[in-house]
Amino acid sequence: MNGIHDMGGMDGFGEVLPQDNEAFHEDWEKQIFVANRLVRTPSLNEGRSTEYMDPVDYLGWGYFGRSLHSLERKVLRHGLVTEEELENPEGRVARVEGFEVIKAEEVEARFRTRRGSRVQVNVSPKFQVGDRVIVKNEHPPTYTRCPRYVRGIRGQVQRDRGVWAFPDTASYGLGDRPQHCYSVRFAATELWGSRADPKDRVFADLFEDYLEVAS
Amino acid sequence: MAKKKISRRSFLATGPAVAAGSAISAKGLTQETEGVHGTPPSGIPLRVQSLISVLTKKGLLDPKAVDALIEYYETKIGPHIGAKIVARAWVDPAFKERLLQDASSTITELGLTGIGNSRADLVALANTAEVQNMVVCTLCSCYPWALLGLPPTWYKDFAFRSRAVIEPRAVLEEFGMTLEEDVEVHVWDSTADLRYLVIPERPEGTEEMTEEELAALVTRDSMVGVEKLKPFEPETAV
Repeated sequence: MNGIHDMGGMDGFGEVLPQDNEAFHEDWEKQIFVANRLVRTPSLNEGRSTEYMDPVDYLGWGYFGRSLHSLERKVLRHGLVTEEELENPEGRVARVEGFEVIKAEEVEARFRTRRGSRVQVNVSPKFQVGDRVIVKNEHPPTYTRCPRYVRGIRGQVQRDRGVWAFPDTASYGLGDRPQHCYSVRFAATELWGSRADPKDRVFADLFEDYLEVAS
Repeated sequence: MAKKKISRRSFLATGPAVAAGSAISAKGLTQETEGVHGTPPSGIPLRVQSLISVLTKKGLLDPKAVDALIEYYETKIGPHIGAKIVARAWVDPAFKERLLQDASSTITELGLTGIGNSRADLVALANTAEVQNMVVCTLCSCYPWALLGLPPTWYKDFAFRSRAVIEPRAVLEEFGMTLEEDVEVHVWDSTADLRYLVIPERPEGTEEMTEEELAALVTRDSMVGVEKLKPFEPETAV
């Protein structure tokens, strides 16, 4: 989806602040960040929840405000919590039985390994290293990991990164559609014209379905 | 209050009606965002407190696990892990070569497995006198947590996410980096499930150092590719 989250190449956000170099500023940020990871629910099969945020809120709430959005959305849509309970947290709250709550002593073992979406399936690659490709100029209104700034742009396959689940379908429960993902190299001038330094390169990891042979 | 209510209701009202079948139909799945601006940022801490209190009372969240996970993220993972990989690459060229070919399996030689499991990939990028690699995630904030800890605020900020790909040289200048004239900048946008670790150039004046001493010189920012390590001068390093 052509959402506000897809911000590569936008202007107007000001200077980078290298001195703002901590992960957290306030305690509530830590709380919501880990709570969102500890409350495990089945996938809602709807892509990525923060991309449903109103774009003004996406910009205004900050990184940890977006964690709040994700966790609220998850527990409300799964019916684990009601709006009334959130409106009135001091009031009557019904316990949920049978939910698998992660315990303190399990935390390290469960979070040490990050889950990726690599799949062990043999699929032959459509492209080889060195192939010239063009990113399809597609604008799905749904979840995708193909950023806007590379669409319609010519690049070259730099590395084959192996076979992965295709996020555009897998994140909706519509199947893994296992396929190769490639690091594709773009000349910065192909992306940004005369604003770029001709020496520079941008690399993006792109799934096979995003690419076609450059004629 | 009224706005807040509408905002929460809309969680339930919008979202895709997932169609049966294997193809995504654009009509059925159009993502509509929640069209009312909800809680202003000043109300967020309170709203977080309410949510966590409700989750705890309902038996969905264990506060002790919250503390344990915060402690894990703040103390167990961090740039000291990535620094070990970099220091080994500096002292052992064969290790570095293997790392550049297949970082996920090569870091298991150091007993590191967090990101080297079969379902996620780590990619190592070597900076040279000619190439400065830097890493960004324009779509969210993907970052090699297992090796560098949680990302700093600047990495998650819109300024870095938006500008790193279009004006990397200006961004690097804001980090205090001046590039030699013929250096190429290579920007890596973490758009899929690959996580990038930059191997900075080994600073001058470190020839006599042990691997452990070298690891202590490696900074987080140098492993994201936004800092060059300065030559080591014993007098000023105290």
